[in-house]
Amino acid sequence: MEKQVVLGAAWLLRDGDGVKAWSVTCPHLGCSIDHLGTGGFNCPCHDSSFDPQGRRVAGPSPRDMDTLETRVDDGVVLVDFRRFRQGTAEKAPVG
Amino acid sequence: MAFRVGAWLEERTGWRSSLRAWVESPVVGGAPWAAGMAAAVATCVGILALTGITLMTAYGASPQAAWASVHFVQFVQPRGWIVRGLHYWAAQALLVLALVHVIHGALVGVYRKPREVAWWATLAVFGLVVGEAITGGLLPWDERGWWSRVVEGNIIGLAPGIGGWLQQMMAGGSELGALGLARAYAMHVAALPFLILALLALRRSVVRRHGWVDASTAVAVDRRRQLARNALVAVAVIVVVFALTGNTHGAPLEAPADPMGDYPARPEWFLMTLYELRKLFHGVGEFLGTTLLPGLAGAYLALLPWFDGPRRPRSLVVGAPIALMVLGALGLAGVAMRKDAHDEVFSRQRAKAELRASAAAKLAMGGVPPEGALAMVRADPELRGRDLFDQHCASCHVLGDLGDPKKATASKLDGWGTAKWIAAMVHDPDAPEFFGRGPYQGQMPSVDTRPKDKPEGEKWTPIVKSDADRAAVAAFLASQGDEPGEPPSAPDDAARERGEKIVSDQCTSCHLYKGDGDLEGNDDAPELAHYGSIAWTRAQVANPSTAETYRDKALDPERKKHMPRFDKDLSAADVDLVARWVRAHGRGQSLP
Repeated sequence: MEKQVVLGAAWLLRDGDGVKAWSVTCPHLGCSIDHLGTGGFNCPCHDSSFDPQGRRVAGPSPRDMDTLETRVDDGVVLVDFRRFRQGTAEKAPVG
Repeated sequence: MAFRVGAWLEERTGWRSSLRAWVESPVVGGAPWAAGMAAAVATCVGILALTGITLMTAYGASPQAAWASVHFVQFVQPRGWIVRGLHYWAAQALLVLALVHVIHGALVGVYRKPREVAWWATLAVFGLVVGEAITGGLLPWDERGWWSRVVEGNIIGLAPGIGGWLQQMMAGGSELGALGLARAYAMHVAALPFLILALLALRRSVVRRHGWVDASTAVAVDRRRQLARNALVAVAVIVVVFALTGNTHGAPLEAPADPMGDYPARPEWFLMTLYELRKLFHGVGEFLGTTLLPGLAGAYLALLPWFDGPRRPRSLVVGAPIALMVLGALGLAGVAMRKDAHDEVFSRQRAKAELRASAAAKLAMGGVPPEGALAMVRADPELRGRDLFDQHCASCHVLGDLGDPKKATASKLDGWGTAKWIAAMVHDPDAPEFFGRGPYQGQMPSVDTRPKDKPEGEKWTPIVKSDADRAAVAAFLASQGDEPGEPPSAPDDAARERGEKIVSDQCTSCHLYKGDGDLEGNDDAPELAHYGSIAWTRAQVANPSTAETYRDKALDPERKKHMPRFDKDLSAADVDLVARWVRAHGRGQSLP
């Protein structure tokens, strides 16, 4: 298996003993979602905004931020990185 | 000699007589300024073809090579920036001129029977020219090109039926990568130009057959007059394109495309209208609004021959809709640009992108490694150090343009570790740029100012007796941060020794100096030995709560907004890097 390949980026949030993860890719048209100092998220392209739990608050995004599966293994966070189709209400994996 | 060669060729090809016959034939219809428009468009196309082929001799169409090769043309190759600038600006000019050409054609009614096919060819060529602009924008593989194409690809992906397939074909996979770049390149330099030429040939054959206007009613103009006018137009276009190139020194090149980055993507200027239009529609309406509306506009233009009839008022069926479209498009684009100009977050992100662009361009002057420009940028300590500071430190500290001075709760780090910074800090530790808004507020006394709780008349001894002593303390503490190979911060031995004596006599009731001191057992004030050195800074970033820096109580939960330890979140290499970066930039330097 090839190692040290950059697949994508995710936002991580400590959640008790575990970790929650969301893909940074905006479900609308694929720009990178920023984390705001106030705790929520915002996409700079078309101004979709999300609450601190990644739920859609305003803007054109058709669904909440895409959650990713995580596992904590001996203090290391493992994220199962996936891509999803943009612009659809349904979270459909691609690739 | 030249004459004899000409005559030899004339005998065999008849070139001279055919040319003369063409020049001497009159231009029927004489719509001279419209013909001038065509000449302007043709001049742009000519510049684009010549500079395009020249650029192809230096370009590498792979994610590893593309940015580096464009950087080479722009910044290294002699006069390369002129070639690239001409290509870029001729493309912008072509979009404007072609649009004006199409609108003018619609207004004067060039689409009328029997020239419908020529009109459709004109519209199709315009669409393909936009396609050239979009595929060309991706080729530098920089932030702007890559992110605009990602968003455009996703918009295409929304189209019902073939959308998803088309998107994957264009991107070359589930993410825009090497195949997508190669495909865009093939489209840009071969497929689209070939289609454009084929359509122009079709258009020409229709015009040959019917002329541009009805020969029975039109006046004939001397072709030589028109050629002279065309030459004038061509020269004007060339002058303008050269002026724009000189003005911007070529064409913009942003930092290498980083799919992990947080680039604030915006479409090319000619798509700004659609960008703003998109914002008016959400959900299912989004597709309708942003694909159907432009599609309807296109269909309307294509069907103009049937909308326009002898018994209908032209101003109503042609003039008004076109005026509405042009004003609407300009208005929406204006609104979009105005919003961005007033958006503080966007301007900050733009400033960051521009800084990255110039840093990457500078870095690449030393050569781009075979792994590509993105690997070069990622490995650069200066850019990475800045990113780390921005992500982990700038929510409390200010340094240079990073951090928000209004929200900062920790020391401002510009000048940190220098004698000047220390002299100001020991004079007024509770100033807002030092401890004034943080957890150490009120903990450190000024060395030379009477505390507020000790009114005049009450016994109070300043820690330093004179400005010279304060300067000596600052010089000595600054010298603690000196690293081998750097010029000493306190070259005056006498002052430094005086400073050391004051510090070890006066400051160690709270501070440690070389592990000694802290007579009152406060465990609050930091170790001063090596203060400001790489080792001290690194220790502080890794974990403030060690005997090397801020000691046992640094992470006390009672101490609200205290500096966190980073050795759990960052690798040892990143802790070291951010420490070196902070120390260098505090001193107004950058990393070697």
